[in-house]
This record gives sequence, C-alpha cells and structure tokens, in this order.
Amino acid sequence: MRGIISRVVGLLAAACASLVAGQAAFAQSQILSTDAKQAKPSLISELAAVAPGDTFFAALNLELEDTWHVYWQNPGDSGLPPTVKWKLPEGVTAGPFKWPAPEAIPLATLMNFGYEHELVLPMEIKVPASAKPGDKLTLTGAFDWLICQDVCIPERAEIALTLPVEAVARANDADSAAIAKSITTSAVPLSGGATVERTKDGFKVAAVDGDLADAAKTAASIRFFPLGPETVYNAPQQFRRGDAGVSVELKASDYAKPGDQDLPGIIVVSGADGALKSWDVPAKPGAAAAGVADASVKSTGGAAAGSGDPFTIAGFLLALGAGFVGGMVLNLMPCVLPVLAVKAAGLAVTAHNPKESRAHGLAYLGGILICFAALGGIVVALQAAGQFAGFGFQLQYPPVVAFFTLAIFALGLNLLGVFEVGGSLMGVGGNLADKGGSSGAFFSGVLAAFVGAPCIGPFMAGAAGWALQQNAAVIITMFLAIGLGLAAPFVALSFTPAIAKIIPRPGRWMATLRQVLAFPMFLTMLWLLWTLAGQTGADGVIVVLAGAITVGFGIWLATKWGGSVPGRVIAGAVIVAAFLIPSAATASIKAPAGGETLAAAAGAEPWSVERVAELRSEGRIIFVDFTARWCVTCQVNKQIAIDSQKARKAFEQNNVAFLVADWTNRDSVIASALAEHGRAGVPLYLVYPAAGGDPVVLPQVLTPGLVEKAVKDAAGTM
Amino acid sequence: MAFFNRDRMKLAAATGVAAVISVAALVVASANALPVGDSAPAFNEMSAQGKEVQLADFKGKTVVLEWTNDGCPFVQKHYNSKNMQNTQEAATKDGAVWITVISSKKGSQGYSDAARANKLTADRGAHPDYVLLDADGSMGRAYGAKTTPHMFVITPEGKIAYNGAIDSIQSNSVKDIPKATNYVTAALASLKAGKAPDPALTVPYGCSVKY
Repeated sequence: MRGIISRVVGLLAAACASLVAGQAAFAQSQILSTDAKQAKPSLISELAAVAPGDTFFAALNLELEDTWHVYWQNPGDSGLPPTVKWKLPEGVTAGPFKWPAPEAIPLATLMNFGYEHELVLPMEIKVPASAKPGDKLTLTGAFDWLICQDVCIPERAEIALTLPVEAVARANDADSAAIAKSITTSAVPLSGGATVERTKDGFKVAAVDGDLADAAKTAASIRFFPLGPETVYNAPQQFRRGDAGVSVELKASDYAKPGDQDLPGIIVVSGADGALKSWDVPAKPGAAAAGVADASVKSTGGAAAGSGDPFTIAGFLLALGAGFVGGMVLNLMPCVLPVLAVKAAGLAVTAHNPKESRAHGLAYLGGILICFAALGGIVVALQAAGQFAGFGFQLQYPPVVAFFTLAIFALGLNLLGVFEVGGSLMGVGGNLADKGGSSGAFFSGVLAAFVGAPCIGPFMAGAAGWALQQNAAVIITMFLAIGLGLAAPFVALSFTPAIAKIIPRPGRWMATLRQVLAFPMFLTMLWLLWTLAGQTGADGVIVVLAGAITVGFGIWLATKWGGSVPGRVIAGAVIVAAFLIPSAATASIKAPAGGETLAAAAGAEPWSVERVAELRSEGRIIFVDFTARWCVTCQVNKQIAIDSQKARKAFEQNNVAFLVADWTNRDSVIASALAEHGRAGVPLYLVYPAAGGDPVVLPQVLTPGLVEKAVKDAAGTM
Repeated sequence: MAFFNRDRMKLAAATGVAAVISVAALVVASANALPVGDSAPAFNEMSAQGKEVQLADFKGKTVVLEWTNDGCPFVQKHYNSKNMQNTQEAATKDGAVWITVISSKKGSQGYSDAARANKLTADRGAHPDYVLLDADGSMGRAYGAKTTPHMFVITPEGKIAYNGAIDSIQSNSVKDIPKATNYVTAALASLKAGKAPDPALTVPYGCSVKY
C-alpha cells in the first residue's frame, strides 16, 4: 500500500515538475490587472526564450472592438497616445514605442490619427550580458491607453511577461510574425532627407527618397502625418512626385509660428493592395530638392495619378486614333442621343441647301472642338493644382448640372414651339442650339460635347486614361481628337449632297418632327435631375424645378411683351436670374446623409480598397461596378446586363461579392482607382478571380452573357 | 401669374441668400483655432438658469469660457480632482465671469437640458456664473472648440487673450495635475498684471466636442 501511494505521489510530483518545466520553457504573458472592455490587451514577444546580451522586440497588442480606435503618437485634434511604465529586472532596458503607420480617422469636423481593429505596438528590449541561462526575466508593464468611438474611455492593464534565459534564443513564430508585420509599416529614414518651405497659406514639405517616389506612383493613398500642431489636420494635402521623391503642400494652423520652422512628421503610403509603408520626415527649413514635383499626385486620401506608361510617338498616334474612333462611337452611346435629335432636326432643315448645310456642319464641328479644348484645359489646370479630374468631371459639380438642366428645359420648350427664336430677343442658354443660323449649329456642338464628354465608350477608355497621365499638350490634343471623332459623322453628312435625295422637301412634317424631338430633351432633363438628386437630395431638385418654372415664366413674359424695351429687359432679367440663382444655390446643398446610394439601390455594398482586400482574403469573386448617376452608359449597362436574370444568377451561384463605386460626386479615392486601371472615367467593370491575381477588365458595353461568362471564368480559375 | 412669379422669385432669391449664408457658415465651421488677439465671436445662447446670455453683457469684465462634457474622462479628471472647481472659484472671486458651455448635440454624450445642467453644477460643486446650452454647436463652432475641456480667456475689451488647454500636461491622470501649470490661472494673473498671457495659444487636449 505504501509502495503504491509513494509511486502515485512520485508520479504526481514528476507530472507537476514537468508541467512547471514546460511552462518555464516558454514566454508567459500574464495580465496582473486590467479594466479594459473595448480592447483586449496582451504583451507579446518575438522570442520564446532569450539569450544573454540579446536585443529583441516585445509589443503591446490591443485587439479593438469594431468602431473603436486608439491613438498614434500625435493623436490629432483630440485623444491621447498609449503610455507605458515598466518594472524591469536589473540590467534589462526597454526602448520607446516603435509606432506602426497610423490611419487618419475623421470625426465630424475634427481629425484623429490612430488605429482601428488592432494595434501591435513594439518596443525594443535589451537583455544584459550578465543574464544567466536557467534564470527567468519578468518584465512588468503598466499600460494606459485612451480608446474612443464617439465617446472615450481610458483603459489600463498591468501585464507581466516572463521569459526564460537560455544559452541560445528561441523564436516565438506567431508573435514574431505579428510584430514583424507591425514593424514593416513603421517609419524608415529617408535616403535624401527632407526640407520645408513656407508658402502663402502653409508649408511645402519635400521628401527625397527613390523608394518613396516609386511607392507614390502606384499608391492608393498618401498622407503626411505631422508630429506637431503646426498644420490643419483635416485640410486637403496636395501631393506631387518626381523620380527623386515627393512633395506635399500643407495648410498652416494658428499654432504655426511665423517664418521658417521645423515640421517633423511621417509620410504614409497605402499600396494598391492596402499594405502600409511609412517614412520618417524630419523636415528642416530649406529649398526643395529637384525631382520631387514633376507629376501631380492627388490630394489627401489621394494617390498617384496612375501608373503612367511612358510616352512614345507611336503610342501617341495610336491613342489619338483610338480617341478619334471612340469619339465617333460616342454618337451611338445613349448620352449623346438627345443632341442627335436636335441635329437630325437641323439636318432636315438644311439638307436641300448644300451651302448652308456645309456651314452648319463646320459650325457644329467648331462648337464641339472649342468645348472639348476648354474641357481639356480645365482638366490640365485642375491637375496642375494637384487635383485629379477625369472625364465627366463637369457633371460632378451640382451648379453645372443645374444650369445644364435648365438649358435643356428651355431647348425642349423651343422645340415644342412655345417660343421661336428668329428675330426675337431670346439669347440665353440652350435655345441658341436651335437657332436658325450657324450660331445654332455651333451651340448644338457645345451641347454635344457637354453631354458626350462624360461618356466613356469603347476605344476611348484606354486612350483617354493614357492621355490624362501625359503632359498638357497631349491631354488637349487627345480631347480634340475625341471631339473630332464625335463631330465627324455629322460633318460628313452635311458635306454629302446626296443626303438631300432621301430627305423630303421642308413642310409641315418638320414642325411635327421638332415637336416630337422635344420629348428626348425632357427625358434628358429627367436624367440630369436624377443626377442632381444624388448630389444634393430633393432640395437641389426643388430649387432647379423652381428655376425651370421661372424660366418658363420669363419666356412667357418675352412672348407676351417682348415687343417693348421694358418688357424685353424684365423678361431677360427673369430668365437670367432663373438660370443663375438655382445653379448657384445647388453649390451649397449637400445630399442628406442616409439617402439612397447607387450601391444600396443596386443591392450591393459600397466599394473601398479595404473591402476589396478583405473579400479577396476570403477568396470571394468580386464584381466592381465603377459608376455615376450622370453616366448614361452605366445605367444602360446596369439595366440590361448587370440586373439581368442571367447575371444575377451567376452572381448567386458563385457567391460573387458585388461592390459599387459611385463617382457621381468628386471622390479622389475612386478617381485614383480608375487611374490605376489606366482610366479617366466611368464606366469601369472589374472582376476579381477567386484564385487571386489581377482583375479582369470588362468592356464598356455589357451584355448579360458577357457578365455571366466573366463570372464563370473568375470561378473557373480556382 | 405675375404674383405667382414674384413668389417664385422670392423663393429663388431666398435660396440665393441661404446659399451665401450656408457657405459663410461652412467657412466658419472649417476655420481652425481662433487667433489670439482677435475679437471674440459674439454669441447669444440660452443658459441653464433660463436667461439669454450674450458676450456683450460682459463688456469691461474678463470672461472665461470652458467647454465641458461630464461623460468625458478628461473633464472628469479636472472635476473629480476639484481642479476645475478651484480654478472657477478663484477666477470668479477675482471678478472674472466664468461661462461653462455644453456643445454636445442632443442624444450624444454630455448633452444636457437646463435641469440636468443645473444638477451637474450642484453635484460637482462647480462655480460657473452661467452654463450655456449650445446643443446646436453654433457657439462651439464659432470659437473652434475642439475638445472637452477647451478653455478661452477673453479680455474686458472682448479680445481673445488665451485659447487652449486647461493645463500643461496632456493626460487623463489626476496625478499629473499638481505637476502641471494651470494655463487659465496663469492667463488671468497675467491679464491682472497688465501683461499678455504667455503662452496665449496652446493645443487643447481631451475628448472631441460631440457636435
């Protein structure tokens, strides 16, 4: 009996001893006390066992509840960074936090810098050479951090990390991977230093580093995070880049001292895959180095204006040819149809007078070219200002949409015969487009350019996207080539006398045709109002409709009392006011939050770089629809192809994630994603295969079968 | 018809005016810190005592503005330690007018109606002359109040003399209060001595104002 007991006791003791030994062989993290609720804290270590004289990283790991964040070393407008107080064994030292790259977290009118989801915050630990193998080192850290959502909660934890000392260090694979991942995002020194100059309303920081310049080229976003308060945290940042580095313009805050001063910070670049990299930018007063501002990179949250294929003459001619063909094809795109209606009416009138017909053709060409040249010039100017403008940018401004809506409405009234232009006082807006003479033809060209330019059709997409990354001359030439293509079919027709043979002699039928053609105008108006509804909500639409009523009233006044000078003046003033006031008013009306987005309407999720990365990591097939309300082609594709039973079934069967990137309003992140695929506008359709790799780009005109096949291909590559 | 149109024109004109005003409001809202030496923005807010309070009421007196939110840990730091109450008491004894402002919007942390604000004052043993209920955030935005607490000192002439933090140590730990310099007390002392406060502009720290 005694023998058995002693054996059992002996076994138990041995088991206990081996347990203790087993524990001692690994790093142990123990929370001594904590009040943390929104964050789950732990203290992790690169090494499972340390050797005397070792230097290694330990890290505070906070797993955060969704929607909560903790702060970077400069927390921004509010908040506090985490702190630590160590209790360390004799001879052991701990370095400062090695901050991973932070995110910008906007909060109402304020801006915070910090971390969401998870923070791994490493510190370098030195083990003294005098440490003896077989000993254990216990590092005790008292960590404090502020965690905020909208409200803030201070949390704390006292955590002990116990490490065995052994002759040879042993790695802790899981923890060292997490720490390494954090450290790859922390700031590295610039190879060529950084300078800062004062500008009119702020600072221009130049950072010289070839890797940074390369990263900026393909970045999804790039941002300067200042260490001090001298800049306005939520102001836009204008980035430019060159081969040698990048430069950024920042707005000074009232905390900036007058004159030159240091402006330390870091530049964080988010790659197309969502990976973060950062550079330490200890900017000192001085002139910017050369080669840091050759090309525009977009503003805050912004990114490179695309991958920038090199310029070659052959490539240029090829792109111009594609632009010209693309412009011709635009005539077949739904967006230009209303203008074609006007042109058809015009052609019917002049077909039997070859001379007049030719003059009108040339005037129409002139209208298109001047308008396209102007649009090209504005794109160049916006790029020079560091903004990214693509095709259709004009319809991203509500006042332009509002003005255009009213012009189309007036044109519709004119076609309907509510008023005639010849000899009357009317001289504003779209009614000019139907004016008898060449000026009418000119303005129908302007109109065609305006509605046509937002459309990206086949052939044009690549050419326009390529041109926008070249210099000013190339951009404007490309715009002209597209305009020339757009005008070409009608100009050719107006120079073809044979056309008269198939068009009947002028007569009553023409008045009827004109009236019928008014209705495409009113449908166009509906499209523009729908666009405006997305930009400004119902308020903007009401304001513009009030303007339309006033336009109608002014026209009625003019037809009633247009004979007298005061009547003419009053009618003219009413009409001008009816155009300008609502257009100006829409500039300040914002769409109410929670209004229906294109994504919600499509039963899709809103697109973001992060969401794509997340879905890809889950191995899902992703269909991304880059769209805008003002893009008629996009709406047609959606109705006919994407919403078709065939496509929806393919989506369902293959568990496709459907993301919508809505470019109705200006959005630099979407613009940069378009540029990344060499595009200057919408539509753009991407299908990410389940197996990974580059996304497949679908054509600008979709069919149900095409979408179905793309999805099946994406699934089949598994 | 003409009458109908006049109405439409009025609507259009009103829209235009509204546009100008809202653009101006946006400009104000996006302004950063209020520069020291500038005129303090006028305000007219309802106080918890049920009285409308304007900046113009206090011409000739030094005014202290304190943005607060009782749920914010940084505000709690200064109230639990009695640091804020002591600063208030010393300032008001010395003839300054102390105005506590609550800019939390309805439904967010710190939002108070008059009854709650008065109860808070009583429970905390606070000594403000007025507690202003700025739930629409208009006063907070006009001053560019960023955090709770965020402090302003206004001269008897109505100029901003101090704009920034309550004290010199950015933390939420009560233990730091004795080690920190109280910037409001220092600014009031400077003004009394006929000197410009130094520092006059600091970075406020705390929770974001819940606009």
